[in-house]
Amino acid sequence: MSDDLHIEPTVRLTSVDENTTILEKDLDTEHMLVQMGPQHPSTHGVLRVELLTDGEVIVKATPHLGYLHRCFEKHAENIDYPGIIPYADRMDYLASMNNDLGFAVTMEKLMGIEIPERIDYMRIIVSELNRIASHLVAVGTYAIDLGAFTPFLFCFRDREHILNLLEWLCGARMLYNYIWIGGVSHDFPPKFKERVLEFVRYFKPKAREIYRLLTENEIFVQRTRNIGLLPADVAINAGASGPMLRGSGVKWDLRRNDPYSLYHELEFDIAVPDGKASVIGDCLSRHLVRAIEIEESLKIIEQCIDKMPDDPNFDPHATVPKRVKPKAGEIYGRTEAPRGELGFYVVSDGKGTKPYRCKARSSCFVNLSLLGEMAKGQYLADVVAIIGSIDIVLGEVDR
Amino acid sequence: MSEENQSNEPKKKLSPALAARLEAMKKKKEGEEASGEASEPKAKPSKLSPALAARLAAKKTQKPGQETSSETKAEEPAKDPEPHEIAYNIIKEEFGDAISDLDNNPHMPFFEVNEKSFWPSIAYFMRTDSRLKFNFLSCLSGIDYDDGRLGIVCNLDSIDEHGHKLSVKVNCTKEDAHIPSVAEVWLTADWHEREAYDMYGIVFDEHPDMRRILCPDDWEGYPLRKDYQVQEYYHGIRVPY
Amino acid sequence: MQHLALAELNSWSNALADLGIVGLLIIPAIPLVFIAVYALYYGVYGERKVSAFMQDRLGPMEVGKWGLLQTIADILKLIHKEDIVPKAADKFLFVIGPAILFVGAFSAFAVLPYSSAFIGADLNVGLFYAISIVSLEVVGILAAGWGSNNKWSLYGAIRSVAQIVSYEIPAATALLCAAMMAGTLSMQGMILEQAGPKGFLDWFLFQSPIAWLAFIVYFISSLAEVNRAPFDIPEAESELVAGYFTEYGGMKFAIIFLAEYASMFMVSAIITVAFLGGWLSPLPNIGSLALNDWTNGPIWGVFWMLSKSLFFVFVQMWLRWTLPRLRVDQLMFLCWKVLIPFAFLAFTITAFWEIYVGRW
Repeated sequence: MSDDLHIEPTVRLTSVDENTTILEKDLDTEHMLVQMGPQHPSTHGVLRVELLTDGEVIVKATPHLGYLHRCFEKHAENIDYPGIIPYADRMDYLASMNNDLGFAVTMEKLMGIEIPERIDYMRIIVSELNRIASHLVAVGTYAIDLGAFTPFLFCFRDREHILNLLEWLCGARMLYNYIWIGGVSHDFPPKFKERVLEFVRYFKPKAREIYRLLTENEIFVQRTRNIGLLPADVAINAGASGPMLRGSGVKWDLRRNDPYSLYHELEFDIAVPDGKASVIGDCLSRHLVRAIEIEESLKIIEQCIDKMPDDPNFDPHATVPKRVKPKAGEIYGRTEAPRGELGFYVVSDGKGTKPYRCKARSSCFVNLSLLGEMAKGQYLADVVAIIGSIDIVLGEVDR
Repeated sequence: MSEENQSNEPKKKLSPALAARLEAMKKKKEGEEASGEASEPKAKPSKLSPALAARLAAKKTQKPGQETSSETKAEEPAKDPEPHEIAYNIIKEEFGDAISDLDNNPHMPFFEVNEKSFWPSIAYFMRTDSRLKFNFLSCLSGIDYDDGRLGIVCNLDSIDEHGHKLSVKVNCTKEDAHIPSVAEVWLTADWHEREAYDMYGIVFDEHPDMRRILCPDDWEGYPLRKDYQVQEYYHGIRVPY
Repeated sequence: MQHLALAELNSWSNALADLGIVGLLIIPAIPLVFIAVYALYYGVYGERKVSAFMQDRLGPMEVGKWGLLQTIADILKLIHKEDIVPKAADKFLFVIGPAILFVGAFSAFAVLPYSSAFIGADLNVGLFYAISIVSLEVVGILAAGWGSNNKWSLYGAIRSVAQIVSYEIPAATALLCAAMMAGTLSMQGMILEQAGPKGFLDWFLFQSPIAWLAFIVYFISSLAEVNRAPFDIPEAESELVAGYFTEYGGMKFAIIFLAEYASMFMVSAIITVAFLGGWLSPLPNIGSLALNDWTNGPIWGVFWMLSKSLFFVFVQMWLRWTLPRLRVDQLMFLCWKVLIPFAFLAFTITAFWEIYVGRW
């Protein structure tokens, strides 16, 4: 290594005009500019957060994205509609079924395809299983960010069971390509429903245990209570959705308020914190919302298995169109992914099998924009707690 | 805020040609409504099977208090104005010719903003008026119409208040790719507009932090435009491989 | 017990010292070998197995039966790594940091009484020496943190210094309670004061109504002294990657690692000596069964001392894998507003107890 290996700070100097002062130069001797860099154990992926700190207190936090940008929208304009499903999988890779479901539901609305009830129930079962798996990762990694190493392994042990079930179903553990436009790719194997019920029965006490393991731990509560407060009106204005919004006390769940698939026929509660264990809008509320949602998803799965019609001559590809060629039109379809509102804005020009425009409105992208607001005035150690409670998956943030 | 000033001042006079065109469109719209047909939608409403229609009717009765959005509805003979139509009429009353007519298609009813300089005041009005209360901006997407126009499409929602949904489109040309920013009205728009700038090159005036968000800061070109050619080299790395 | 005390106290150390230079070199070598074996086996392997069983998994199982040779494999790996010093690092501080850390941790082993017959140096201010030489680690940590030329290491180092310096106050105050009960600061002296036919009831933990409070205060403070969870903010893995030793790899990392396990053992040994009778047997003399006399002796002493200390090391590991970590300001709050008042309370009550009641 020679001495002339001098790297120009390219990124720091670009801005639209001279008055943009977002990237402060490191001249102020009282404030320290720290990069919680792209490689960091607790940013849940490649996210760079630029922190301006006054000792341990954060003065300004600016997230920088784009490290995992894989041009989902540009790909989608060059691939026919069924081929977009694997790309949609890879956005929020911890909850792939929900991404697929969002896209499939949107396209079915646009084209007016009607699907049999059994397909709907199958889709809901796998989506809720995936929601549980995703929330287990969220809870586990949140615990490990705060130093509690053991709940992480308990959560992953149970997640293994779910991944095994889904592998039995469609062959893949994490990125499924299972929910297609107009149907699903495989029927349930024999005895699948019984196994899922077995899992639900096994997991119910464990879900309670995971909830109590962290909520009744004084140190955990002290690290998350009253940290990263997000008032409800700021949350709504900034477009937060999912557990972020429900953690601030707003009872808004797209499965209830804007139902799709068969959610209007199922009974489940919307988890909203009541302010007793936590302050409404803080990190602990969001964590509690996720922990309770696991239990609600178990209820949904049980009901679906109960209600699912049995059909001996069932063909999962019966209503899958041979060529997906929607007429000219546009639609914004949204579903409740584990992290919030996942929306697809699809424009079809009616001339071919490829979309004219397909935008994915990702929940984490919008939720992450609130980091700057929430981290102001908090301690450096709290930034980790706040990022963990937003529960981001960089694949969805950057698409 | 400049938006407040704009809404208090008298509205700008439109050019005679534009005013005439808007008048003609309005008359045509009124004529169509009088005859009881919906205006020409971009996609025809699909015929619902009795099962699906029954399910949707059941869905409506289960939530009597909430006004649901106007998704695919069964063709009912009686035309009660749907919630988004009521909302649109309120906006139309306030802004008149600055906005186009409501395109009442069943998937995504929207209207266009003809005079983009009115966009922040329209946005502010939509958010704050007590009958509208569009407090949730779901998504702000850029789009390239491939005929020299760029635009944005905003999907708005009113959660916890009225429950109506509406979408707004604002256009601009490629040569003059500027649209006023609504980042102060909805915080969501902040990052979405940065993404639209990054992908399409639409500069949002008075945005607090207008720079690229997903691509690196020194990337050339605007990737999602239809005429985008990827650059050859980026920092010595060959890009198309 | 009296015959034991007078005749054989420090007999082995004195014998070795009489051998001249060779003997004087063997005396410090014994704790060094002990640290190596303990840190390798009980420290690294034990921690991995304990954490694995608590997390519902198996831990190392491949290398050797039940993974027993895993640590050898780890040491071999660490030894043959390249010794990297970052270009922009302060070379002198970077290299001297781990050295000072290890010296601070290891020097305290000079006053560790392994049994009635062996102690490195029976100072009459043994306890005071032990807790103060450990503070040398602070210098090492600062050198390592600043010398790494890394803002995150600096954060870790600063937090660590604040933590260690603050927690010495309740630690020392709690130990003073034990010193007051003993009337001496010498390690062997304190243990001898706890000798008696009643076995464990003669230990200081049971000799005073408030000794349990001093015990708990010292235990918690010692966790903070060795940067062990729930006080491991300075090496918080998920926040600061590895805190002040982020930039270290290879043998330097191994030295820091060894120093941490050595300190863990040292504080466990101190708490054993001060409150739990050191190398004394816990078994009481019940009537004709003179269990206490049978299980006391120079070699029995080694067994009792080591097993009590290693038990506390196990408790420290247990706590690490159970509890999340405290934030820095909560840690400081705990020290200054909770532990120090309790420590002073224990101190005062112990003082009055010793004046008016004494030994029972």
